[in-house]
Amino acid sequence: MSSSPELLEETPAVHTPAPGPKEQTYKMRAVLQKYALVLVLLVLAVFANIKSEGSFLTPQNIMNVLTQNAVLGVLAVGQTLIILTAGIDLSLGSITALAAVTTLTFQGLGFFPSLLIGFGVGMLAGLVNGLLVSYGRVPAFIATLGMMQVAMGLAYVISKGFSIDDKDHVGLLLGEDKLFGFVPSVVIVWALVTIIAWFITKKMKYGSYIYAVGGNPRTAKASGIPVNRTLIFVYMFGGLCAAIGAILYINRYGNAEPSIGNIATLSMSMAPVVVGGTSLFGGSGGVWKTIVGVLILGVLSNIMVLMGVPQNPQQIVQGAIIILVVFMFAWQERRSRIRQ
Amino acid sequence: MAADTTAPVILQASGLTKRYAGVTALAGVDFDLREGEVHCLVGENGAGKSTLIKILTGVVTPDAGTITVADKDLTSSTIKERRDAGISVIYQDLNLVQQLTVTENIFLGNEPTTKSGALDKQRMRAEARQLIETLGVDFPVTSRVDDLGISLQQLTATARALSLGGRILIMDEPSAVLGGKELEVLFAVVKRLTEQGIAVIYISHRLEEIFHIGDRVTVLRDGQYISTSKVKDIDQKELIRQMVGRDIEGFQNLDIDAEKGAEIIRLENVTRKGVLHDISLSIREGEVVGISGLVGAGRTELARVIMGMDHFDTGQIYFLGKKTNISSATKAVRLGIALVPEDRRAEGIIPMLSVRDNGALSLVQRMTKFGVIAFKAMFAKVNKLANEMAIKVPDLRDPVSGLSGGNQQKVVLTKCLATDCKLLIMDEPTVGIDVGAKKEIYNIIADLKRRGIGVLVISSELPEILAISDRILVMSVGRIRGEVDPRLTTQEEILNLAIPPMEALTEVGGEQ
Amino acid sequence: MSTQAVAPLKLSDRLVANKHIAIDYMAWILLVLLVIVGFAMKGTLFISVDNLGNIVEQSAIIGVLAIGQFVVVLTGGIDLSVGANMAMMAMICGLTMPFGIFGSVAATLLAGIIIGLIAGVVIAYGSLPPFIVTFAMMFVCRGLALTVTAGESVSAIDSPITAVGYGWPHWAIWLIVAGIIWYILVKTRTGTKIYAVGGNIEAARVSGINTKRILVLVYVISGVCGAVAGMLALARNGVAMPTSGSGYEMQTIAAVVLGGISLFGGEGKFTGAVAGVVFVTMLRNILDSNNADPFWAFCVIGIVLWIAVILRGLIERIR
Repeated sequence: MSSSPELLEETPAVHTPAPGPKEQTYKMRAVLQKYALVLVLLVLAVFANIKSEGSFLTPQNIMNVLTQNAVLGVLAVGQTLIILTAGIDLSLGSITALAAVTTLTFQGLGFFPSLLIGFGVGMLAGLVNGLLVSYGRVPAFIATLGMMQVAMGLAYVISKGFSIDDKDHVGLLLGEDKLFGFVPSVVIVWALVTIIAWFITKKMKYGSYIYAVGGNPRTAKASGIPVNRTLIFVYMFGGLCAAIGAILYINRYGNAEPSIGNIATLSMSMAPVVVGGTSLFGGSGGVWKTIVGVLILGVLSNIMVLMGVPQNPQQIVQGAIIILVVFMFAWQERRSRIRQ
Repeated sequence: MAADTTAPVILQASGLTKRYAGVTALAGVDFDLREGEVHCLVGENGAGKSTLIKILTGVVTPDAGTITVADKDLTSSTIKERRDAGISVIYQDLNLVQQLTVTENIFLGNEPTTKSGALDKQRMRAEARQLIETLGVDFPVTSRVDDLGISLQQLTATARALSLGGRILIMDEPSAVLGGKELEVLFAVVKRLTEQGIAVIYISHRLEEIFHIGDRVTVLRDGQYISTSKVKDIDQKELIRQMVGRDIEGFQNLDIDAEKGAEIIRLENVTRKGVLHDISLSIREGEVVGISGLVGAGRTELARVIMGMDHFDTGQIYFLGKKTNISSATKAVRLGIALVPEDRRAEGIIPMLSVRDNGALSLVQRMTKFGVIAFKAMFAKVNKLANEMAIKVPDLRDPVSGLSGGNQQKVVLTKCLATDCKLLIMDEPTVGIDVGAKKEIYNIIADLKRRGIGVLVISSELPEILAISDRILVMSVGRIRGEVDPRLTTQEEILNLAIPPMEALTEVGGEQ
Repeated sequence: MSTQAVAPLKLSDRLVANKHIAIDYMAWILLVLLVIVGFAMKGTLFISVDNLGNIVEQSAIIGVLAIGQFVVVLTGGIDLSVGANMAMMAMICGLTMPFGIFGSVAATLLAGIIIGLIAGVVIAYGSLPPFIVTFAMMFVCRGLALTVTAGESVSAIDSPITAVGYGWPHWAIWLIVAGIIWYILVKTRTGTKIYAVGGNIEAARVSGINTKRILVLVYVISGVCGAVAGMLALARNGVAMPTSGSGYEMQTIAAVVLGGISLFGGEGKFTGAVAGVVFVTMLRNILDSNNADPFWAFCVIGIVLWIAVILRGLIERIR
């Protein structure tokens, strides 16, 4: 490698390919990839509509589907931020249960105090998760697996294992009324949480930190990003989402019991995140993708109901879908990495 | 010594050439090895030593050239065939399973079993003990590897190589992590092996050692074969003269005499146990301080301490005249310190993020109002810098992973400079970068200097550090061994300071 | 042959060596502490034959599952599906009982192998994180267990499997399973390979070990352990409940971590895992019978898991 002056003047042509036809098909494929899941959702919806003889794609039924998935949706939004940092929270379902029974246990104190206690409990659980993962250096799945048990145990202890009724209508604080006559309040809360999470991830500095920490924690650290604080932030936000999910649950069912943490769909809040295309390895994905993921799984489960599949096998289908989807994405990621 | 010029040649390589993406890593190199000799291989970083090793072991296929072992042509053989032909290699990272015992590691994947299929542990232990004895040392073969010091771990790896029946042993920087008595043990082992007719290719940065154990020495420089001589016919001065030689053309440090500004940072007696000893230095505005030294001299560790990524045990750091505790990288960035890390892929970039997102990584924390990012202002600043540096990318929103090494480095520089840092630490800023981009980076450094930024450059490339520094500190085994003026010094003088004397090695061995 | 003496281990080296001993015997030390606590809380009742029998009986099922978990964790993996797998296996065993005891046992073991094979292949050949695959597997198994009988329990009261009874025979089966796994780990090449894959997968690959095959194998072992545990549960209760075994993944992981096994793989003594199992069951025993709300046990075991992982990490970081 002898360095002559001529060689020094020569600037190597790097990465400025002319947009030939190959480039265009590449771009088209990128666009297709971007909206592939929306397309899947539409196809599923149309299929459901045919199957139900036109009663699926009515405003009324669409609102039903959204309402059914609101609790999971809020949890999945919280889970998205955590997974973006290459973490995972297995405890969101249990925290929901804990927050729900705590809120109702303190309902005598009035709407806001009990609500605040519920939120506080959720965020506290999230804080513990965050501290364990960041400063405690405990692998995320172990830390949150422990929290899954602790929160569930506490929920049983507080409620003594019984269902607690929402006598003072804490959950109805949101109101039974529907906005514009047909948008239920739970759906509005879900939308608000989604917008807030989107705003955090895309507009606020912690959003940048989240993507950086998930993308490459060592670079993030060397660039002066507060990695530990970012981790604590996402797990606390996850805990808060679980507490909000708890209120939505109470609003919907009028009671809460500790076993709601075991409901498969709630414990599997990572399912829609993964289906939506957020990478489990962190750093890529987003909140809106998760919403598409929630809706795909929601429509799928509706289709299964329409086809007369009972409740339990749906768990199997969901588990299988996660494995399949993760497999697909990992495959794709590896292929693109090899290409580089 | 066991070897003489009449011993039969056991390995013969000629005309080995290898190119990576237009860069010639090895150009027509000849190499031969005789039975029972220690043949040393020396050269600066990037001289082509590791490429040669990879070709000899079959990890990399050469573009041209032939390899014969014991008169058998092995040019196009696999890793396994090479191993069967008797070529074993002990890499620097040893490739041991830390949690297993010495015996288990020696026989890993090759364990003898009894007729019933169970492990023949007795035989394993006995054979392991025998192998260790062959090396002329004695230590318990039932210890877990991570309970052993690094020296014994290395002997374990050596025993493992011998268990495969190796006649040719390649030792890649075996001494890099050793000191004192451990070195003596290593030398004794090497000597013993050669007495048994085993040929050793010994790669080392430490020229002193070559005169201790080497029979012949081959010098590579920039992928070119320079010379092969008998160790007794050559001295250290001549070796160094052959290793160095090239100058950086097309770049000149013009402002070396310019008036320097106020002091930015001063380290006083900074010590991190077992890594850095008594480091004192200061950097002024508009000054480029170069840190030279061999791999493992503690240069990167020094950068990490200044950046707040590692703690130090004793000593003080003054930043802008005030005693400062740089407790984290976050604080360092806030103070106005930025780091261009050694390993760009691991610590410099976030591959899936876009060029401008990477460029904004350090800036983002100060471009916010109530936590909301002022994107317009932030990206304006990043874009301006990226344009100044002429990062070659169709769109700044493209992911940084698709860029060349030089352009990725410019992204890292954009990230650092976007924070308007006062002190920039650059750890091996031109590793893996093509010639053109290298020169651009030197120009950027010159420009920073004019703008009054203090720069600390760590580099293993002597011509580079001579060309860009205002003054050079030479480090060796965790200490600053001396300061030289780049106008008056020579590459030879720097290397002489950087090569630790034997006593220094013993010293460290005692402290670890 | 003259040998050069190598300097004996320096003090710092000895400290490092003792660090492993501390980790290896963590569970035993904690166990002794727990016995003291047990005494303090329950007096001599704690070591009554009845109570010890209880502990033994309770430890068998968790013990079998923990052995499977142990092998998986040795490779740096995790199996979150052990509890649900056990429930499903009990159901399969109960449902296939009409084909005779041998047919039933064979079918259950085969099912265990298949479940492990699926998880293992997906993890090894898909290069996927084990926790996500086995977490999904947990819901698949639970869903299957609930589906086959639409959520009903399966009775096997009259079947010959209940002849196994409970108590000591359970423990004997645990010992047999443990013995087989111990033999594989300590006495065979496969055992060394398992440790090597967990310890340094690159070094293992360089040594010519088929690392993917080893990864599949450990999940199969865990699946088979799930099958054995399922049969034990059926034998003990006479019925198979689709919801049984929840929280067991947690208890097995706690036992394994307490036993000094690294979650990053490659190290951990067999005896440590056994001590961890006894610790967890004893803890449950103390909590269960102390008039405390039984659900406190969930919290306590979760917290114990956290402490064990942090403690291990701290010891590990001693330099």
